[in-house]
Amino acid sequence: MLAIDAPPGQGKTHQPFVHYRCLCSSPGSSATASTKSSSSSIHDHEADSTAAGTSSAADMNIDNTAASSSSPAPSSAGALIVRASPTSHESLFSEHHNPRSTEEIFASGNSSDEHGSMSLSRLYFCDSCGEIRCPKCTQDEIVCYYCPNCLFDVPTASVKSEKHKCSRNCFECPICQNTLSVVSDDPDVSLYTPGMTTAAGQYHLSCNMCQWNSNEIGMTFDKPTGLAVQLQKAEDGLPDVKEFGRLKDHLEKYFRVHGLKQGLPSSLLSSIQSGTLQSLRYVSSTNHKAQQSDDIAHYTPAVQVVEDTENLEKLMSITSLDETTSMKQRLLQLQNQTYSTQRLQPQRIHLRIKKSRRCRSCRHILVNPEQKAQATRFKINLVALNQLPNITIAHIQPMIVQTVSTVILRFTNPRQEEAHVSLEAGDGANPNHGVRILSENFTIAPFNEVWEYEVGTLTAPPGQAQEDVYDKTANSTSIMLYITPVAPGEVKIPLFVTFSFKARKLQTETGSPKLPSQLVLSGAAGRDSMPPAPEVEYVDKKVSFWTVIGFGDAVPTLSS
Amino acid sequence: MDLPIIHYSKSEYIETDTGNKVSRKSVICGSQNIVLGGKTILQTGSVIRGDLKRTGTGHAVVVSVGRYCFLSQGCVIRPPCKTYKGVFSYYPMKIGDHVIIGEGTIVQAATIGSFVTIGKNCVIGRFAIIKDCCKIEDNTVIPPNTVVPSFSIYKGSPGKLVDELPESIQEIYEARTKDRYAKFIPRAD
Repeated sequence: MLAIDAPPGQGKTHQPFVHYRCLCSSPGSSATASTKSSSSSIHDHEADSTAAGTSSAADMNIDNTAASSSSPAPSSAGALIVRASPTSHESLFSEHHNPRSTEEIFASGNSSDEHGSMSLSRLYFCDSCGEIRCPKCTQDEIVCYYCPNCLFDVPTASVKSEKHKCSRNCFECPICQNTLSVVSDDPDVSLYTPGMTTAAGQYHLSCNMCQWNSNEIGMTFDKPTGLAVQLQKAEDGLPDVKEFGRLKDHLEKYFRVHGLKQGLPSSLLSSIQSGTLQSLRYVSSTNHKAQQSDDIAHYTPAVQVVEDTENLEKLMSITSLDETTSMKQRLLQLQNQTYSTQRLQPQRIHLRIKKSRRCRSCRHILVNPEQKAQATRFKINLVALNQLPNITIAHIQPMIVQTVSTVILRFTNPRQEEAHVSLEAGDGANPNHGVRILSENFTIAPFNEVWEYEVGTLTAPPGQAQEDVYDKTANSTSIMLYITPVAPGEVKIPLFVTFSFKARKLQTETGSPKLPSQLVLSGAAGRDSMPPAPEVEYVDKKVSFWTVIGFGDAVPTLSS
Repeated sequence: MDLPIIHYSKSEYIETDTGNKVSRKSVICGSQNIVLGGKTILQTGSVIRGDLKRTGTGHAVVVSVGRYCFLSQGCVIRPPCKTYKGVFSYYPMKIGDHVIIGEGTIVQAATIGSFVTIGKNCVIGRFAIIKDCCKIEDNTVIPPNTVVPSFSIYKGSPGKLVDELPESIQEIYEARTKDRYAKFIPRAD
């Protein structure tokens, strides 16, 4: 944020980067999205944003670097591109990325860079669309719930009744929100065995960070297990929680009758925390909007809020801020937003989720993790890193205005097939830095696992080396660029990359004609000659995308 | 950007059969209790306290470090300790593969998984558990007994979840540690 607001040349210096652009961030995409999947995709966006806001695991914003950037993409630019109705796959494809019609693309790419493009590691590549997908144009689905402290899976059925919190012995400190541990007054007894005779109230919770102790609020336990049940019981007895339950029951009758399909999926309701009147109001208002009916019977609250003069007097008389709770501490205890630190309760730890991702336009799964909470492997993981050429800046000369600097870009091929790359420098950028690409067309050797063990020893096979290519090793090819910055400040250039390769085609893919394949299928090689048993049919695939490459700050020449 | 090539003086580092590169200026206590998985680099001034072993028992592995780890300058690895049933004792520590530990960081964790990056000047408290594929930002304090689940980024004091890592992080960290090892080469003299 600060970097964007700051005038160029002051404050933060810009680091070199290579960013890839997802279609949804370029101006052409708004049209694409709306034609492809009508209004439902927009709905999904909304539903997801509410999910992120109310979900217990609200910490899951993976793309916060992208989302936190301030300036929105110029939406008006989307209207500038006139779309003809696509007649063939090829025309549809080239329309997405037209390297020649595109001042708008550069404009959005260059002015607010972090918004539109991001590093390859954060992107996905949808195989069936043949497009780059960013976290915003994928749809999250919950795979499983787990406690981030004890790492146990929580079955979806019991998540709701346990209010999205761990029902084992995991608690967080009401003061500093760190994990609490169960300790005994008697230092010799650390391990509890059932049937052991213990002094009443021998155990308490203690924070390792701020030294908070549950003895301070008079909370002790007779045995160190099953504490969550005791705490939840106390929680459920609070008047605000009861009131919320009643109100929810009251409204749910109407949800069931009218169906809340258009508004919120019912699973979202479960993630609304008790006591949040704000979210409740949201639910009723969306329901109202969707149905245009207000036939909900009047609700009479069971608890009457009396004017809290006692609390007011207490707050008036405090002398130090330490005597009251902070806003954060109160908001973490929605069911009992107390002002007195003496009444803060240890909280059960919120569950986190594992999620899978789907492409928003073709509904194919892009990422599907293993069900177990502790597993870090993925059943499906179509990250862009494993499928698109990885561009790195191998060497860079300092940028000086009106002086030619040499940059070496390395293209690494993650695929097991040889790939061909052609580059095209965009010319609509502002300021329009001089770019000369020495080799616009080149090939990259396939990735081979054997090479992992002989790093550096392998060069390109003789005879294949291209003259204008700077360097060729293992599965990467380096090329040279001459950059002539025209103005001081950050130097960024748009680069249009077309990546073509032979991909293995799955039999299932050929068998489904309904698939909205936008790939350029030019001559499915060996379709006739191959027997059906081994599913190795090769098709030529071609993927085009924009990248934005930053080379750091250009310094003015001494003469200027 | 590519990582820069780090040249070291050949006389300073000892290279083992399995490719570990250990600085002579590092402090290795109780080396018989330390296992390095191979291709692990211990830079100048790093400290591993293999001598802090469980009371009573004889030879045991106290600190085990996996492959392709990188212990930066001045980091301290010491096994966690506590008093259990009235007896003060140290407990073994395990560090997975492809782990980078930043400069000046003090680690007293029970377990650090694979594909973990810990920044500069962090404190990892006693018996903390850091699962696979995690990132701890610079100057973070992880309190004792904390569990850091997979794919999290922790930051601050006390360390809190601030973001998630992308799904491709395992490949990225693996490539980075391998690259770092390949670029840690003796000066030609």
